[in-house]
Amino acid sequence: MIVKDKVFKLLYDVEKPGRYIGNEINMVKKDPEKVDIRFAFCFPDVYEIGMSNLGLKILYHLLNEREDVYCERAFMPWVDMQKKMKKEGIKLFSLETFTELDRFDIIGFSLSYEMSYTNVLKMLELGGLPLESQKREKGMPIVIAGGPCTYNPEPLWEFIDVFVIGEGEEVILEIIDLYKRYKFSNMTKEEFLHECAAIEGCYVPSLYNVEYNPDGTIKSIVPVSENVPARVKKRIVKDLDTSYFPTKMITPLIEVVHDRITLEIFRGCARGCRFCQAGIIYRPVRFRKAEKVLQYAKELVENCGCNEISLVSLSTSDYPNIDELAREILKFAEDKKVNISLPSLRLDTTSLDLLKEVEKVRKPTLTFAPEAGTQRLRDVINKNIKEEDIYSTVRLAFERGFQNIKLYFMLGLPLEKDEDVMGIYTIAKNIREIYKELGFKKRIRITVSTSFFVPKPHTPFQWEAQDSIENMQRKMKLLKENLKKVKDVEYSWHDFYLSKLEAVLSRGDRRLSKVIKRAVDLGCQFDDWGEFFDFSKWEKTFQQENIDWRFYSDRKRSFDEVLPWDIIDTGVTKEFLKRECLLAYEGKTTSSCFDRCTGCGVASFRGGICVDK
Amino acid sequence: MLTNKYRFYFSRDLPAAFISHLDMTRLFERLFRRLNIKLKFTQGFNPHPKIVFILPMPVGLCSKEEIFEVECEQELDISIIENFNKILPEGLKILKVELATDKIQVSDMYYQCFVEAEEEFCKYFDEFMKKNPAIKKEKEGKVTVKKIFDFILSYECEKEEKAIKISFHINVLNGSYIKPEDILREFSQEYNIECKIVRVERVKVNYKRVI
Ligand code: SF4
Repeated sequence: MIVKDKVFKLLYDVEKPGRYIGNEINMVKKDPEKVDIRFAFCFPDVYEIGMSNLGLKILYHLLNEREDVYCERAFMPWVDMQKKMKKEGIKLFSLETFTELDRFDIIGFSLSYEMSYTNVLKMLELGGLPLESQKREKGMPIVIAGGPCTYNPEPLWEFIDVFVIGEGEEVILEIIDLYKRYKFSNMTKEEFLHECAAIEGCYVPSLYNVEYNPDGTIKSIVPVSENVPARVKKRIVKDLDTSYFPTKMITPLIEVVHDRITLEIFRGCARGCRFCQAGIIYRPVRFRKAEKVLQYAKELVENCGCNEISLVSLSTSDYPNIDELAREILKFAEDKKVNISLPSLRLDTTSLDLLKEVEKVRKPTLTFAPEAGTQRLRDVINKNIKEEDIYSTVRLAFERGFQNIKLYFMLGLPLEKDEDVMGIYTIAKNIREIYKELGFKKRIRITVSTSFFVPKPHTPFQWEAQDSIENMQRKMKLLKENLKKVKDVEYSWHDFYLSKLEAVLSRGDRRLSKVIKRAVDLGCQFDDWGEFFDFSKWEKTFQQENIDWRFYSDRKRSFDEVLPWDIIDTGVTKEFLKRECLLAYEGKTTSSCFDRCTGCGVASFRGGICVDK
Repeated sequence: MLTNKYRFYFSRDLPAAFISHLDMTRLFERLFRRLNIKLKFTQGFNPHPKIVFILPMPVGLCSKEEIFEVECEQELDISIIENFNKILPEGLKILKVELATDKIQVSDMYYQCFVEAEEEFCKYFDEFMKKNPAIKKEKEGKVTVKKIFDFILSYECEKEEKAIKISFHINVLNGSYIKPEDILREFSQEYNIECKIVRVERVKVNYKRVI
């Protein structure tokens, strides 16, 4: 209680105090004295971002279903709050009971993006814990981490005791059972970690030795003993219909980034874009039955009261009969003044009508992600969007009164030439032309956004070099100069250095953990926030650690190099990735899993659409 | 035409006091939806429910009794209070519901502020107040200047066990008033005295009926 009182006194003087009060609709209340395990779910970013994360909500409620566990939440406090906490001697606390982090049994981090790595360390520090796993003895919390970034866990290896690879719904319960045995017996931490490693989907980095070649590449990654698996296989939930999904979902009191109910309609993506990590790690595609979606949608509206429900997936149009489902939901949603949103919809005539019908509130904006400016390059990356289709959709959209078009592209893709960069300009120009041809006079808004290609682990492009900063700059300028000539076009590009650091961290190895720690010491945090990101600080840390960051970002690897993340088994074989990479070089496309199975290897999981084939 | 406009009296304390005004509106919208009560919505592109707080509440403010009015598509039963209180987050409580047949305005209100500050706080504060200072506020480029005693009917500063309590009786003129927090801020700036607010509460609000 004392911590709570102290915290509340600080809140009169900080930005957005609502971040620190907890007490939300459907927050789980338990007596901490009456549980065996206290679990702190930590999200390494501010409240408004963390509370928009669906994974957090699923695991929070799943864990709290257990009577013997109390799962609470902690987020990264904003810098003003950090200062005040430090002054008053308050450690990072949970929002449920205002318990300080070092009093928990297990601390679980959600790793959604690499740029939050410094925040992970900062949160441990604010929680009064030693950063290194080795320095945390029995009696101190075990630190685990899950989420998409764990597919290359190595940069954080020193700090995390156990990484959970893949979907956490089942593994986490197994870890808790094991932890209970550990807590209430004289099992040592080392024994605990060894037993953890035996759980499928658990990667315990301290149980592996990494050796390097003289050129800095990895020679070998070897488990310390025979009982430790040579590779860690990801876990999946085989059937979404029988798996856990919370319908009494915790709902924030203050506005968060995605301020709506999120309902997952399927997992995975069958398209196989060659740059996309999500498309690989979330394989195979598993659909949730329409009846289930409908039932959940109703319950969620009843329990949360939100005015918007978002049907999420990686590629919404691929859900069978999405129109029908959306219209079914609309039937009861409309009456309750609830809106439906359908993110990641592929745009064509049918979906345009659907959008018009269901997404009533939002300003009608059409979003396309062709990713590359020419058909040639789109074939290289296996992005199946035809330019003609964009134009015909745009034409229909203009006729229906849409006035905002957003276009997303990537610069620096493998095999990119200046023609491809100019292709982006051509698309924007043609869209503006169409508008003019239709005889419209009013101003419109065409937004072109480019990000820089970041080669990601476990993708067919994992071996590729990222463009140098100079090249990025040159291409951006080329595009910018040309887009200036087109009326009503706005151009925005992603920070070069941010993309650089993302490339370094996402393909990093164990040597980076020292770098990250040093960066935190130098004051790096909230790297994903433009106002805080400072690449020069990072450069300094790399220098001090005597590491050239270009080794990780700008270097092309050979197919037979041992990669830091080879230890992780996504089910997709390296042969498949290699084959896809070679096809990319030839500009040949691969069909989607819906058309035919191209043998990526994930069928071994015996789940989702691969089994039905 | 009969409108179902209702007046909800509610109290607000910590932790809910840290919810912003906009978030309060949204919170109540959600609660009404959860209770299956249909509200009237505005027309147009971005419809929102017709929920109006008589006095907006700044972040951090607790209050013994506040009012919001809401237009419903249906008639409400008095038992609604019970259902509401079951699902309201900690700190919020509905006290009373009535049909809003008239219009009300705030006439005056009583505040209590608790601050942690140095021993001599009240002495300096009295000195400050005697000067009848003006409070300058800038909002979106517009500067408003208010003389304190145009709005303060009385005040009292006393030292309590844990904190210093400053009570204000504040007059509302044409919907405008002076916030005690602003007075305290002005004072602490001018006198360079650190005063840490630990609680601000509206203990009573008086209303007048208007036609
Ligand atoms: S096994 Fe075949 S169907 Fe399944 S995800 Fe891989 S390529 Fe697609």
